[in-house]
Amino acid sequence: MSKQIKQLGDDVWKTKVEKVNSELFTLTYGSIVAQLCRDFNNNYEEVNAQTYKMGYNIGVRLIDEFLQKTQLSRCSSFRDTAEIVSKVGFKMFLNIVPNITNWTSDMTTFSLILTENPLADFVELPDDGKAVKELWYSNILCGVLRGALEMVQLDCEVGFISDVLRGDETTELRVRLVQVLKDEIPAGEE
Amino acid sequence: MPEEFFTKEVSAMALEYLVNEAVALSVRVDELLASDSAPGTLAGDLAGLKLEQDKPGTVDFASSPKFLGLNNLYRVEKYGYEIGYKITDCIIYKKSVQEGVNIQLLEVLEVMKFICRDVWRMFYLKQMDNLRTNHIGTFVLVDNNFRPLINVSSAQGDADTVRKVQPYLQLPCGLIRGILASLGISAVVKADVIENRLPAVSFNVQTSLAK
Repeated sequence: MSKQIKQLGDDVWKTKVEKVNSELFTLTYGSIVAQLCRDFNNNYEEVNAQTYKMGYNIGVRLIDEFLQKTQLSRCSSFRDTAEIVSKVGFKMFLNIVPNITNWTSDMTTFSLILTENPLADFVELPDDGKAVKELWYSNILCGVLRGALEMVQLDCEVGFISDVLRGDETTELRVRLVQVLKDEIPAGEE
Repeated sequence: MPEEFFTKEVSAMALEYLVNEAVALSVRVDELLASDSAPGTLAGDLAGLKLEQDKPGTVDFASSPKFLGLNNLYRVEKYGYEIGYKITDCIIYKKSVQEGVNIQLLEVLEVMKFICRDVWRMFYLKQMDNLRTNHIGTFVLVDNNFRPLINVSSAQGDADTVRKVQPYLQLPCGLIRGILASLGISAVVKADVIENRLPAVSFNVQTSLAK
């Protein structure tokens, strides 16, 4: 199964995706975050909240394109979801495949280790002593995952727990399944 | 090692989502700053009372009075400017090291061609369609099919669409201005939809050729 998923991710990336230079992407995100830091006077909590929100809004839209290009149907387990997020999702948008690890025994929480991160290439955090403790530079990714997963009925909590930009060993993103949402009929319709 | 630089790629859609959402972000920042900066004042209190957040997946933010406000337009332009200011070196490096093309950017006209050809191809996957100049510092760059605007449309009709694309045109304006600035040329850049024919866009670049 895992192998098929990887193949699918590679195929979509190779045949169905228009590509741009990753530096362009890095610079664009960098200029947005830098401006946020200036706008909020280095209030990094607010910057985190704004990049997360940005990601969330992107996530709820990006899922459509994801489903259309991959033609995937519902995952049978959260383990499959993790595989697909990493090997197809990250692959087709950012051309990276994070490692999946640190599953909890109840299989509701896993980590994605980003060995590469196109958002953060050549990036250094401001050396005001505060940023390395408070800023989650790539927080937009958490928002994207949260938004996209919610659209497929998976209510998840997503957050970074370490980042190489802060001097940590790895960049680790934690995903916890809170509940599987039920299909609900919109109010007023039957 | 050098050949490892500037060879990686990401999806063009990823960049597009990011750039699109930057406009919505800027509106939100604007609203937040307005409500933060003036506590106690009537305007501040009113902004604080606004309980409804823009709902994800909607374009409510485009109806905010801040959407077409100068603060918003400037901020979005600044995103572009910063990208432009930094990307020039990367592109020149990429062209010379990977493609063996030596780019000479001594004349303003050459710089404009560089923007039309190399920058546009990198950012929007196509070249500009036309470049005109009056030879005294004004240039008009025309893109008949400006990629970010291909799928935009307002529910309130075409006139409203043309009005509301303005913030989205600020980013490429800033991009052009940033590239020019990084090469020592100061300029004013303005973008317009050509005769309401979306997605055809013209960029009017007025350089100050101080001798």
